[in-house]
Amino acid sequence: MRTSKPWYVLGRIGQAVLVLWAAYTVCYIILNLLPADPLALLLQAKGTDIGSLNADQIATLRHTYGLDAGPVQQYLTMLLAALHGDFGTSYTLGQPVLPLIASRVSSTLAISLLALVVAVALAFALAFAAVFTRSRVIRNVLGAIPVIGMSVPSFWVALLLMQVFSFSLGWFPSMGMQGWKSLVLPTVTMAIPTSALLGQLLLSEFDAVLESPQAVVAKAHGLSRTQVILHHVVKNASLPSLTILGLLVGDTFTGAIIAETIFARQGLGMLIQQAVTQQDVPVVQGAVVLAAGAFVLVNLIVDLIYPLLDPRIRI
Amino acid sequence: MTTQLTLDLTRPEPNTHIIDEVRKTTAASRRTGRVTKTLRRFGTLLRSHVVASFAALYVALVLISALLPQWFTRADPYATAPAQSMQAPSAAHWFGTDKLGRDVFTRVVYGGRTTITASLVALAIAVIAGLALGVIAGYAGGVLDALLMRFVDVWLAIPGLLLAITIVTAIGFGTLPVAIAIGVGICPTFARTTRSQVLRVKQEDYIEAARTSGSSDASIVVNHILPNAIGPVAVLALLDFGGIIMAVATLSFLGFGVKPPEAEWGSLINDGRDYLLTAPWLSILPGLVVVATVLAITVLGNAVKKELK
Repeated sequence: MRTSKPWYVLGRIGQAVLVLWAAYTVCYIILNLLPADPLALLLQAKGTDIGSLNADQIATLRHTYGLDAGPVQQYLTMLLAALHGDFGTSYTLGQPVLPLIASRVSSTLAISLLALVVAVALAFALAFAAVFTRSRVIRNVLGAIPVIGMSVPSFWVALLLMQVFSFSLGWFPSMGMQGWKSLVLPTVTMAIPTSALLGQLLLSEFDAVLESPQAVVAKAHGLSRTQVILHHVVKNASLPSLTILGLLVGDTFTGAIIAETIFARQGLGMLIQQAVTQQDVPVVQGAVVLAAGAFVLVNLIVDLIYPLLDPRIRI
Repeated sequence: MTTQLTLDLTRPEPNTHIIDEVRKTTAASRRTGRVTKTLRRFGTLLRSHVVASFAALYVALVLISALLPQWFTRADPYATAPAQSMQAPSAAHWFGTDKLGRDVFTRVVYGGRTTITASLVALAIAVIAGLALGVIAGYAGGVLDALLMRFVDVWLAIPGLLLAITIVTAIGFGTLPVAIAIGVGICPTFARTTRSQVLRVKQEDYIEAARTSGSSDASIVVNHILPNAIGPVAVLALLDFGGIIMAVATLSFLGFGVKPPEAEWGSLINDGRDYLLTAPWLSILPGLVVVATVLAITVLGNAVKKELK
């Protein structure tokens, strides 16, 4: 039953493309076939009320924006354009969606990657501390941290950080994008939920691998606890966290929306928040397709490199 | 037969009154025994989950305050008193007052009603739709299963909160749209869990037995599959409820939820944002209530999950 490797890879890529296409379609259906009239939204975003126009004007406008075609034809036209990298034009900003997103994505990518690094470091620190401690109390406290981390709304954490570190201590700016100092608070805001999720997974994986036969054998061979943990446990316990990487990418998008809105950073997250507030449909669609694309791509990469990292998994 | 009967009749009449009395008291003591046993078991459960018990108590309080906010505060959440604006927390105003002199604690209690109701609506949508999808896919199997599950895969590829935001863009802002959007956004996890449970239950002998004895598919699903598959789905619902509350609050915080002057946890925290420097309690205290609620639900959910294992 084993299929050859190139075929598996090709099939997996095909599947990823299919999921992406389907995500685009679902998003298109939600945004275009629901009760709201796209032309009314478009005009509203430009500051015109559709009620103030006569039937002729409306018909002309519908024709210019291609809204007079049937839903299937509209969908096919938009899909074809999207395949060529044209996701339409923003209703409010008047710019094409793709360059607009591209111009905003770099600052978001910077805080997202920083947040991911911080989150991984925090999660590993937590897991190591929990494994090495001999005190039951400390161990329980460390075990409770991820649960608390996941229960705190990040928008509230952001306000708390702002109150303490910007207003009371004055260490970091509360808004803007100037200098490395402006990166700190948004990064911490985004890192907390991610590190909580990762930390919880690592904690349970470390425990599970420490009790596995291979760790017992390593101990029986006379290795110290530290050696067992460093040489046997870390690698095996860290692999499963790769599988939630796709999930974390999704969380990053929502985290960026919150962090950038609060700390007034002109990134992708703020663009999404403004687009939703002004019902700027093409921008929302572009952002969602980008998020789905990132999720699909990360999962594809993880699926393809996982067998290389873990020889027990064969394709 | 007749001789026996006469023999019986000649016996001295037993004192039925006393026998009845004895029977009654033994039954009663057995019953009280059962009651004390249940109570004792409940006691051990509480003692082994002290933190979870407090969490359960707090969740119960929050749910009651959502149903009957007037039991917890006498004040009116919309009554403005400009003379008392921006007061720090005190005995009269536990959480202080806002710009318009409204009592913040009262607004948090009434805001809880909005948030909790919206979260329950979202949860109901997710659970009902998830159960339906999962049961259909798992029970029918074959092509229908494959199609539905691919659909769920696509659904999961769009991050839950982003999907919710997309839906809100299309159907408009407000508490109900937010609840619907979040319910739809998290539905796929419920569909997956239900399906895997249905696949497990479907293998059982009693399903085969029910089918052999001529039960219809509908009756098998309702009487056998659902009752046996619902446990893990219920635990998931409890564990997800905290996340749903947070999602509702997040969307309101971003300005997609209630319109002022209505109170809601996320929008209350947002209202206080402009006064962080002068009146930090306006954002921080309502936020603490949200944290406590989500944390309590998570602790409770984890305890239930552990106890069922």
